[in-house]
Amino acid sequence: VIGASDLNRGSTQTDAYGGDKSAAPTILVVDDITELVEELVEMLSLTDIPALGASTLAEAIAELERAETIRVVICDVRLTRESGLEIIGRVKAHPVLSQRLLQYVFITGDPLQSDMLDADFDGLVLAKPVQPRALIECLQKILSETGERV
Amino acid sequence: VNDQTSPPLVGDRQRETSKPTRLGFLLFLFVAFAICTNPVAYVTGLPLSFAPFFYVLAARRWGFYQGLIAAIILTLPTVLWWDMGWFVGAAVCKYLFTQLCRRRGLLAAEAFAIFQLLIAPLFIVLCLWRFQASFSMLMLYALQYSLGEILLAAMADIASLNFTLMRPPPYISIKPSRSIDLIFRAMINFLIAFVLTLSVANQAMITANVARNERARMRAPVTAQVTAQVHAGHSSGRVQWENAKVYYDVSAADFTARAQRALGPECAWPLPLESDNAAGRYGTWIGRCETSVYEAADTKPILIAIVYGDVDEQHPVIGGHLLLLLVGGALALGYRLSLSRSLLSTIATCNDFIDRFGTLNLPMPPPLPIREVDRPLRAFVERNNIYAAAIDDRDRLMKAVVDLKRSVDLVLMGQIRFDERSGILSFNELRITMPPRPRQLQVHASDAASFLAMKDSDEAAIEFRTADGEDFQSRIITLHQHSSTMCWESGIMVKLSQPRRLRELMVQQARLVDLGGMASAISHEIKQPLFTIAVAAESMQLMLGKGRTPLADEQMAMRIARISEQVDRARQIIERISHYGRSDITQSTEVHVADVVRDAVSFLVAMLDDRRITVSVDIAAETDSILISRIALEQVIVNAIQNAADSVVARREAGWSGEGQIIVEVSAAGQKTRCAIKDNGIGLPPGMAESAFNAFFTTKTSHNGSGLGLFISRQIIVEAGGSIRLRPGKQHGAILEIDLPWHLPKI
Repeated sequence: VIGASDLNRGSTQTDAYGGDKSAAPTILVVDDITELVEELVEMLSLTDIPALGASTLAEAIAELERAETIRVVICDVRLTRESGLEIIGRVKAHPVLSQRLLQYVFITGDPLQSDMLDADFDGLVLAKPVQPRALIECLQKILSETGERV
Repeated sequence: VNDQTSPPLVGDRQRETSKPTRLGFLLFLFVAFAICTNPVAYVTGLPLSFAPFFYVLAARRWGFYQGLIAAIILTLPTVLWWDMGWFVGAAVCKYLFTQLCRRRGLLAAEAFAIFQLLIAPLFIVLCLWRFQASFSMLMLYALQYSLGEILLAAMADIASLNFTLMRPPPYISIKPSRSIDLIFRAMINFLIAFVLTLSVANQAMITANVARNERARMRAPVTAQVTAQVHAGHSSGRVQWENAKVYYDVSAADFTARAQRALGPECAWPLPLESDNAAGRYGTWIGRCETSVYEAADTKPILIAIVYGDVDEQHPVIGGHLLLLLVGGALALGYRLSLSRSLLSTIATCNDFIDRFGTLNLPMPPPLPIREVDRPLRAFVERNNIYAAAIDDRDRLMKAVVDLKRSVDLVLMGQIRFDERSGILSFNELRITMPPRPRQLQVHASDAASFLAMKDSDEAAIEFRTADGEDFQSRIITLHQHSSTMCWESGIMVKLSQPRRLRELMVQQARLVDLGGMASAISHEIKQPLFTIAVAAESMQLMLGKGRTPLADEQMAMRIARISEQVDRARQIIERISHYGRSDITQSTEVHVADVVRDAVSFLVAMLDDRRITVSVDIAAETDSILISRIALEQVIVNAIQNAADSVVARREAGWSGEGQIIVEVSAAGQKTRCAIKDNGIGLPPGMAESAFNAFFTTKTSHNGSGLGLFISRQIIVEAGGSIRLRPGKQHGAILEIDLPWHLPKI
């Protein structure tokens, strides 16, 4: 089992490329495929978007509690035995996290049923295989928008 | 099965038209006893009984014990005549001896001849012990007695021929009237021979005595006229015996002296002789010879033979004539006996062949004693062989038809009618040995049109399915002799089973359907490595843009390794799928069920994850390998797990929100491997356990299943010698159990 700390080792290594060591992570990547999480975190770090990874919803919540700077959650819809969409509900139910302003980007390999999401959901849903560049641009856009708001 | 019993080829052979009854025997015994109370003839003083004729006949007609009873009862009167009980004993011995000889194929006459030859010396010895008597005279008695008995036995032989000939058809037989005629002729024939033989024997005795010159020795004292007083048991009166000569074996003086000593000095000729023989009987003129016993006081009784004077004088001439007649009679008797033997043997052979009528390849009969019967009997055998071969052909054809009926459900039909409103095809099923049976078939609605199209055709051949939709089987019916609209007089119907190639294609098709059903899960599965590769490639591009450092090189190498790892993963997924879709791996190999289960589960794990169903594999024990097509077995297990997953989903759709669970257990049961696939899904509707294996059976909505899964699974398992069954789970869901026999090495 790869814990969140293992997944996030990559982000420290990005310093080799001149990334901001002290930069606080703004993105949380959640996917049950650890290789993919590693790669995404790595790629985002290379584009100066510090990120953390998690492979389950429980890990994701733990990371969110720990890293208060996270503003965007990228989550696979189909996780092992759980649905990525449930993270919204969990955050809302969380006494502390529910106060935070979080943006969600869901990634899915299946055509998403419209009734699976709440009506007031204002995040993004990207279909697999996602173009990595498009994902980066999308994140940059969200970060800048939310940054202005913040 | 009933069609196999063929009709009997010949009538009941064992039926007898004239059965020997107990009442018949009692009547016979009564009449025979009445006849036997009187002697048939006096043989030089020895009355002869008819008993042998009757007891031999009784044995032939009624059997051993009846013959024995007759032998004892019918010889009882001779005790009165001869005052000698041992004659009864002798008759019983003779009877037993005759029966013994009969088993060796000897006639009664032949048996009697042998017996008399053995018993005659004993008779003579006994007489000499009891009486003072002439040895030559006793020889004569023995000879006469023996000849008489043999003749009576020969008569019984001829008469009993009728019993052999009195058999019901189809055996060779004669009419009762003809039978009586034959007996009558035989009796006349033998009576003549009998009288003749006795006369000859008497003459021989006289001649023998003359030859011994006793006549000269006896002449002096007995030439006087003799008057004997006769006090016979059943006749009385005075008989004058004139010119009779008395022969006895003691000297006249001695005889007279003894007589006077015993009876008093006044005793002289004529002697008061006691005689059982009454004058006037035919025995008297046949023999012209009398026997009497003189009871002397101080010595043994004297056996006296009295011969009439005229016979004495005429004996050389009569003897010559009689000798000629004797030779003729002997020849006639011999001929008669050989004829009856030939006849019996011929009839027995013929009846034996008649008995074997209908037997295949009867051998040609040996040459018969009566040659005239040879040709007809050979013709009979030839025709029998042709007939039996035809019957054999018919039986084999019948068997072939029965086999054919069983394998293709061939039905010969009559009175065929199709009702267009109800779609019912009614007809009489024609059966080989049983009366026709009315039957009805509900024709599948979509095939009723085929019948309508042919409604007025004289001859028609229609392929149709029945409404109960038995799997893939259809039937072909040929209709002949159109009688009216939708009616035909005759026809043949066969069931068409599905060709093997078609079945294989269907199995292959079902696998492709499985693959299609999993397309979504597969596509999701393959997108994962693709996405990872894309991200890694993007990272590498970004790294390249940032310039090279040793650390960056190391990171680069890691990315490259990851890409190659993900490509490998994608390749594995594709391989697994293409392996499952292959159609060329159909031959059976030795496989372990546990291995196949693991493969099937790994193939489906993505789909199961997708549906949030856990699957666990429980290999209870190491089992032997089984002989089956590996891909086919994998298909069975994949199908079973898919069904289980569908069942879980169906339960969820009904409002349940528990955790879906599928357990695959592999264990040993006897010399079989048992694979049980258990789920906690919605379970089986009642009565579904059996019908679930029918083709096109499905509980799912039309887009979700072909309805062929379990049908194909059963075909695969049954072909491998195993069994498959579906039953409800203990609490929820269902259990599919598959038993497969081990492939044990031949020793």
